[in-house]
Amino acid sequence: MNKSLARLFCNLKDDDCHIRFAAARTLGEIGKGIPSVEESLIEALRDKTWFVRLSALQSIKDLQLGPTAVIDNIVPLLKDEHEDVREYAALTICDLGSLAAPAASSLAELLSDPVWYVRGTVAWVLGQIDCEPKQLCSSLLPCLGDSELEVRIAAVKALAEGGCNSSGEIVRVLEEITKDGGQPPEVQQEAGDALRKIGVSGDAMEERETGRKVCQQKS
Amino acid sequence: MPTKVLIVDDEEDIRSYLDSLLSDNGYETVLAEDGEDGYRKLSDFTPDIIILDIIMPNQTGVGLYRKLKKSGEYKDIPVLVLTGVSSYKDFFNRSHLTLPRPQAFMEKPFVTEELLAKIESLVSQKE
Repeated sequence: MNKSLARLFCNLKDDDCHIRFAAARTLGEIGKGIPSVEESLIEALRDKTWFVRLSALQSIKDLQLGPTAVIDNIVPLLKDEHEDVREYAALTICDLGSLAAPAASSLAELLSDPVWYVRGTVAWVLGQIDCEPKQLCSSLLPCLGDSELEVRIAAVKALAEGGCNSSGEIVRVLEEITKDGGQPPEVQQEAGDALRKIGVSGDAMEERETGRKVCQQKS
Repeated sequence: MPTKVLIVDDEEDIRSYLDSLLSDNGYETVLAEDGEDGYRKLSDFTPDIIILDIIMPNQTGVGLYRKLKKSGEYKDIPVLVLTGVSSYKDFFNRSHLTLPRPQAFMEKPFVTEELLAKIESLVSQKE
């Protein structure tokens, strides 16, 4: 092992949390492909100081660890006591794309996080990781009543991402949002944009609506 | 009237360095040691610009920034994020939240002249 790496490993165990923080960052910059660096950063995810954990997490994100290592070691940080660590853990898991699906239920638990921007980020992440449309809808529907506008918008964006896989259920939910007078205009607008992005044109939306009305009249 | 700057940083050395640097260059400064303190200081001091560290105890720069941008009162104050961790930009650069991004980022250690130029440019854009 070269001397500078040995010094950084030593610094990761220093009593001063600022030194541990800096060591974790530096290891992320120089440690790509070195297993001992990955192992030491994974260990630093359990540091007692939140910003050292965050620093290790950022380095692990930069090093692009494999999906198993990320799921096994980052998912527990979704329950971290610090909101920035929870949010960054979700963003790190998001980088796995569809390979992050095993973390979907742990992510969904964070939709009731006390911090609004953690809820907002997690809602958006769920739309990025190829969740099952049914699971995506059931997880995100409660977010449409969130007290924070940003969380509602993030949930609509996530539904739109899920809708790109042409799920009828998601399209139906988005259509309902556009007509829900209880939703703020920004959320309705986002849902309308999402439907256009998915490819449901205004005419198609109108036809669906007319069809629904006819069915209602018949019944 | 001097330009008013709120400096929010938990490291005392950085706070006092920025304080001297900006005071010597004709700025009026108020110092805060974390996000919560920074938000409190805003009740009696309306800055033209905020210099914001990110990693701080109590409320971090991420938390304070988002609180400011969601408030009706402070959302238009330009923010210069001054951080030692460049990947912190991830918190702001993703498109998942509709909040505007900080007007400027600078990494520590910074070049004094560049910092002063950036502050000047942000303040003149605001005017």
